[in-house]
Amino acid sequence: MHPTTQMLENARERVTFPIEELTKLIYVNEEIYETFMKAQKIIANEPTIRNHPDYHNWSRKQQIIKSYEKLRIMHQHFNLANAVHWAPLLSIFQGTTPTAVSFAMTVPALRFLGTDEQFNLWGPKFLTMEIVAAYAQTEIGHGSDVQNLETTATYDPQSNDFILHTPSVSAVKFWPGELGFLSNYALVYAKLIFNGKNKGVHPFMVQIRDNFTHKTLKGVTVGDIGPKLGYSTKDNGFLAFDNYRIPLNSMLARYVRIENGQFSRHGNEKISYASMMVSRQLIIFIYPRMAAQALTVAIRYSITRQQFTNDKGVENSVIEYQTQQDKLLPRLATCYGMIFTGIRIMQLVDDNFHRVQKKDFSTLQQSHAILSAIKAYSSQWVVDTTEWCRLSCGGHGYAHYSGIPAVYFDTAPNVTLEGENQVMYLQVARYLLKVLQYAEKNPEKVPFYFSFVLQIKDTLNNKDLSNINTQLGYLLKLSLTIQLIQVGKRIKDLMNTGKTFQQVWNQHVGIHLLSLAQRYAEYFIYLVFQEYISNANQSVKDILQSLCDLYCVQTILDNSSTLIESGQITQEQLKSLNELKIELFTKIKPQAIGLVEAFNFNDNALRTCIGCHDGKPYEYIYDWATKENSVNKVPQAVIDLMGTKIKPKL
Amino acid sequence: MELIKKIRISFSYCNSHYLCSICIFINFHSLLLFQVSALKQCLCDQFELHNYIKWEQLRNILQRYLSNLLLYRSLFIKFFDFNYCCLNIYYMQYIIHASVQEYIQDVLLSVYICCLCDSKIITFIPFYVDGYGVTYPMESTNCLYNMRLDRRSYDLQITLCYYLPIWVSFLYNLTIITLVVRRILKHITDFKNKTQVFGLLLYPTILFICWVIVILLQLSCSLAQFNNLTHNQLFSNTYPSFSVTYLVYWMLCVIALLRYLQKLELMDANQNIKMIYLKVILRPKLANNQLKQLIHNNCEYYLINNIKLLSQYNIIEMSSSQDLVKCSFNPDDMGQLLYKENYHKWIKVQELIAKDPISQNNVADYGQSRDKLYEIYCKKAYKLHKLLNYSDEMIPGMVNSQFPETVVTVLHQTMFIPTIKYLGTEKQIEKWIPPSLNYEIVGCYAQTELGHGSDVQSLETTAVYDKNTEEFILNSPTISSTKWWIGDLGLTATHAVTHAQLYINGKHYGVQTFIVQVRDTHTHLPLKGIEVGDVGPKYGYNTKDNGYLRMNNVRIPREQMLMRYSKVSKAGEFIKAQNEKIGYATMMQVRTSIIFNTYVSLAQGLAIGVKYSHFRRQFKDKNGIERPIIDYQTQQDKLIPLVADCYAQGFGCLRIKEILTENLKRINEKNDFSLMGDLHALLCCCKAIYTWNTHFGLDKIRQSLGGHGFLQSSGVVSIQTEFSPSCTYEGENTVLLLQTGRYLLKACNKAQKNQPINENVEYLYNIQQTLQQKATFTRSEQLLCPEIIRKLMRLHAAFYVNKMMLKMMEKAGEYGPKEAWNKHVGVSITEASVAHTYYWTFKTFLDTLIKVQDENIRSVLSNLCCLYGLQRIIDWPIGYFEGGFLNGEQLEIILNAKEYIFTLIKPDLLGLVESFKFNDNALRSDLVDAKPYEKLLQSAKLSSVNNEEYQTKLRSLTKQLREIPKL
Repeated sequence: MHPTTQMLENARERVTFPIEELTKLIYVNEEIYETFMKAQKIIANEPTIRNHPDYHNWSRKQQIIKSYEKLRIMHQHFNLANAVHWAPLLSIFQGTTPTAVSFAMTVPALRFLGTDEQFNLWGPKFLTMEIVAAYAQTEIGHGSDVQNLETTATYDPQSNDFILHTPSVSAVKFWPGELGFLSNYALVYAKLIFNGKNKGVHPFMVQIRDNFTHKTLKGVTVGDIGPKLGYSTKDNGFLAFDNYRIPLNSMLARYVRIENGQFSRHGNEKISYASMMVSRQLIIFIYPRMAAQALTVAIRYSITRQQFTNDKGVENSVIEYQTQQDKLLPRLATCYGMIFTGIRIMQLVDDNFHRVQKKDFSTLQQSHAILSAIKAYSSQWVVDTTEWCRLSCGGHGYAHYSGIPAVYFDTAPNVTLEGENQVMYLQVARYLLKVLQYAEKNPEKVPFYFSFVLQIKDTLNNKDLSNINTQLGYLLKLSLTIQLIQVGKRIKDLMNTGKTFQQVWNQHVGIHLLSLAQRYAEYFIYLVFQEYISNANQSVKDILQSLCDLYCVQTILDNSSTLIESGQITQEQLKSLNELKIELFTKIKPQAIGLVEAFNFNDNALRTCIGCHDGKPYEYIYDWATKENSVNKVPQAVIDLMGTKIKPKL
Repeated sequence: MELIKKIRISFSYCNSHYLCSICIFINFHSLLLFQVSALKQCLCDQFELHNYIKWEQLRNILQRYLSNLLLYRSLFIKFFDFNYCCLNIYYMQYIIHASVQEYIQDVLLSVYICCLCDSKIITFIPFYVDGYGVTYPMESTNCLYNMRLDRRSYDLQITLCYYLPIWVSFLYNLTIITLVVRRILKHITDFKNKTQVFGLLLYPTILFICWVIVILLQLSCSLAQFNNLTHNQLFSNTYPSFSVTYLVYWMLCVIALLRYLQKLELMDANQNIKMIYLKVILRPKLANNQLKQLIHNNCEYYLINNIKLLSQYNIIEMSSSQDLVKCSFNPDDMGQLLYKENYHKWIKVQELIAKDPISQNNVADYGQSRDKLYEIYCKKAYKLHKLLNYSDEMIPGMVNSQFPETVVTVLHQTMFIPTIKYLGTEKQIEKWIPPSLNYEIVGCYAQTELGHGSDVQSLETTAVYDKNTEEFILNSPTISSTKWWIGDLGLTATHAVTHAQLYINGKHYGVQTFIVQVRDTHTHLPLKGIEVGDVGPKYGYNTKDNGYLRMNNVRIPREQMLMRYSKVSKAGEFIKAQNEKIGYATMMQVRTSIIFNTYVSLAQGLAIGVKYSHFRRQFKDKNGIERPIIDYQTQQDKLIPLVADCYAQGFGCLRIKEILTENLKRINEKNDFSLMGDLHALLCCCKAIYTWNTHFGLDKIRQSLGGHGFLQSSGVVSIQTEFSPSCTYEGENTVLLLQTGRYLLKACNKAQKNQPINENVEYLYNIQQTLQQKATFTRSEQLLCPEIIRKLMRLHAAFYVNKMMLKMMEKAGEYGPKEAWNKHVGVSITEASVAHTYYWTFKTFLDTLIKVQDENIRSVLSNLCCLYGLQRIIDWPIGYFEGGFLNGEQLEIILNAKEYIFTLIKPDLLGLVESFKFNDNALRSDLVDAKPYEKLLQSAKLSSVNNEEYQTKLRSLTKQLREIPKL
């Protein structure tokens, strides 16, 4: 057996818990597990779309052509009407899923904001690919700030239709995915001008390309916005209208209607959040799994990579180094928290949907707050973790053959898309302050996951931290509580000095609000983690508890300033937390390989040469570089350069 | 409302600076004593630490610490310049007359007093008491009267120099206070809030009370002493000069007051220029009309120079236009400070590149395949050689930051040529350098192997000496010995500086350096026995042909081993180098250029981020006007600390360059390697910390730009991807930190034995006493003084090094040193290195800024410096708390101070990024264009996938998609 394969096998033997139990937890149920495995298998077995490092040598043009091929095969194998069914693909492909926006954003929007007739008119055509529709909300000048969008849709009473118009450069729709060349329709958000009055921003389903020739229609300017940091195959596009007429039926009319020349509103508009929720929930559910891919590569590689000799003259696996553990293990622990949270949120959002459809809006706000907090927290975490996994692999992490850069590129946009993280956090903070008021006035309105506001007194008075290692969750709660109270007080104080609420909010407490929302996200993850542990099979309870502890310790140590500032934690306690962390490292280190392999990614899905199931990193990369790297033909340009014999200027 | 705000600002302004400085200034003695005590406190610190220093060295210390006094001046930012000259006079006196014993007395005394007082106002009183009450006989503390006087002249002098001025100054202060109160009262109707009025009156009241106390004390003391003292001292000739100085001060003071009053009136007349005038009046060089004009111009520099640009930006009508007017310094001068002697070259190089159609950046290059890109950059490399003088060592470093991808042959210039220069004999240099500069050969630096990167000693490639043919035979025995990652090797290089284990007659002589030819210089095909190629696509660096190299019995002549230090004779004798570290000389050069690059890359990112944040507007305020996003605190929190970091790294890099030059000079001239170890430790930790910081900073900047940051045409993307390999190449960061850790551990041991150590780690002396100290600040304004922060960070560094040492001792006993080092103490070691780096960087920043002549620049740098330190504390407070240097309340004060500094820096932000001196081509960003949105759209339309031919192809593919059977 190859020595590195042997090393991995040895490591696997040291794992003491049943891996399949964790696999069950990670993939929720049989159906989801099967879809994931099927997707991995299909892609690995299809030579035209297999993941391959040489893909990154190509120009964007070639990669896009490849993505069409992927789309073709995907359509043959998956039911795109069901997000669960195709979501795994997001995490396994090189590049992104070509119709993700159309299905995850436009279709839900159509369902929730359009009337049933409208949905029946367009909905089925999505499945046959007769319609691919971009979700055109963001403009060059405005992203998060939806109310200030500039595109106008003016109602023309004479012809009973709308005139869509882009009044300035900053009003050009910019960034919508799949707009560049794939879609023939777009769901355009525009300001409705009715009888000269601004009636707010509403969605319009607009045809932009011809159904047969796929050529751009007259009055529409559309195209791709150019290469980005990652996402090279995604055709993010721009879209401008020049007095473009669209029929009356274009406006999604579940909540606003123009009938007989009269404008009217119906029902509760809050429901429109629901469409955004689908895509955010997907982000939370899927992308931590990509971080898990990066962790799998990093941990396998750390076991096989040896550097510097020890006292016996044998080289150590780099995983043995404390500094390496410090980079990987806390992130591995958090990864489990993120995965569980993603599943729990999916359930929460589902539950909320059912309620909303029955016109019960009681859980809408809290779902929105939780979703926003975790979307922001997890998307940032995924990017950071991927980055640290890359750095932990030394030079090889930097190459695409490690598989990690691709993960980074495909997850990096999540931080700003679907609600910029900072804006998300601010909304969470606003909700937390609101909940704080509930706690004083009508405590029965406080939702379950926010019940810490009912225990503020208890939390603050519980000074007994004698055995701090068992009270990690309490510390998270304490930190959150203190932060919340401080922010509330700060706002009140500043408003007493004569500033308006808006001024205070924008200019004086921004930093504190962000950290408040982050503390909440951390605490929520902890709560979910604990739920999972208490429901878990006895055989994995122990390892899950260690992971949860490590997650808590790391989180507390990373953001200890609140606790320190308020004097809630002493020097000795901090010290013992640090020691606990090191202790947990030694406990988790031998289990690490089992923890990442519970995800069951095959080598193709990891798109890696250095973190394969059987090790052999150097052999694999050497083989690929010498045999399959397409740039290794000597370009003429070098020979030109060499022949010229430039005389330097002196 | 607006009026109230302005008046408040102007008063808080004169409260804190103007009044203060006038009072101090008039209070000549108290001022002097304050400064003296400050000086002494510094000395005292030094004393504890360096009690082994001989008395003779005292003078040197004094000399050094005098420069620290400048710092105290920055406390009162708007200070009058002559207090500096009086200090000088004082200093000269002191050095000439004071004996060592007197000096120590003073030290002890003033330290005691310093401990008593902390805040600004109260400070003056004890010193006053110090001057007049406690040590009045003037023998020891008061050097002005350090001469022997007779009774008559003594009385005369006392009257002239002590009492008269004091009484006059008392009256003077009274006048000022009255005037201020009058002004406040005049506007009192404008203030609706009573606390505001109270706050305004508070200051003059306190001042008044202080003065009364002082005067009473003064009176009683002087009466007593008049009666008791006998004087038989002789007159000294310094006395008259002091009287004259006094008189001059008084006159100036009166002039200043008059002007002040005059301007106060003027301010009412024109609200708009009030702030400017206020600044002008407060400038020290006020007496000179011409200078005043200059300062005035500086204030308006931004407005005048950029008025056209600003109107395009639409910035001119918005509220923050006032911010721009307020840019308090001249960015050109700041630029000179950042680039020193290379300033003009820096600008010139950018101009040349931007003008040339081949070398200038082009949006159409983004998204091309790697082979196509490589071709484009080969052409650029060729063109650049025609444009620029590459034999100048500065050029490659400057050029590389100008492009979205790396220019081919960078390693040739930054590694191959320098290695030969430093490690080659004269003969070798003569042979290899000219053809290299001519591009007849292109080289690379082949050290890293597939299996080993950071651990050079474990490299596996072998070079066996064959005595018969006088050749070395090179081999790559295993897969993991394949040279890997070698920049410029994959497609370009013809030669490689190769590291291999040397064997002669079966005996092993360690890693040596060889020049190996890998490709034919005409056909460009690999030579016999050589296997070479590109390693594949990466995260960024698309044009860089990182390569692999395998050698199978490759023979090279003996002369191709670089033999300046280690040598192999014809007969196969090995002559060892005196200092093995010499091999690192090139590594050092390269690490320095990486450190320079951490500054440049971050600066580029910031230039884009800050400019765009002033342009981009989101969310309406209550007047229905959208606000530029820089007005939001959250956005400031992302950008402003990075600006501080950027300056810190820039200055750090300048300092390192100085040390590097010094080191090379010593090695070449005197064969003196003494600086090598210190420099190596410094380079390691700075490279690690700065690259991480810039890497994550750039990501933060990109995210702060929202979606547009993600576009290649934002410019930030390519800066980020180009920069990111820095964290792992040329020494993996964690490994580097461990090396600095080792150095710190050694230094710590030396310090315990009181052996000499480098000044950078002086805090290790008497570490246990040092760790007893605590921060005593109680208000956030105190944190505007960098010295307070420096001390804190010094403690922090000492704390972590100490912690590491204790842990190491504990674990080494348990597991043996090597095992402990690898598996049990790693985290502590890196922590110690990080803390050390932060402290060193801060100290360097501080050292740089106190040498700056221009008041305006110094004050803005001082704020940045403080912010750099505070941000470090906020991000990583555990050590401060664990060591007991800070308590919770103080941490909160620090947070407040940070927010306060934001407000101080924000008006200068545009100026600060302007000082980096990038032209548009270098930033290659659509977002800094005069009309960013138009430019973005224009670039989008130019994108290669939007051309008609390609679109037609896609259309047919889309059609096919619609026709496939669905599930």
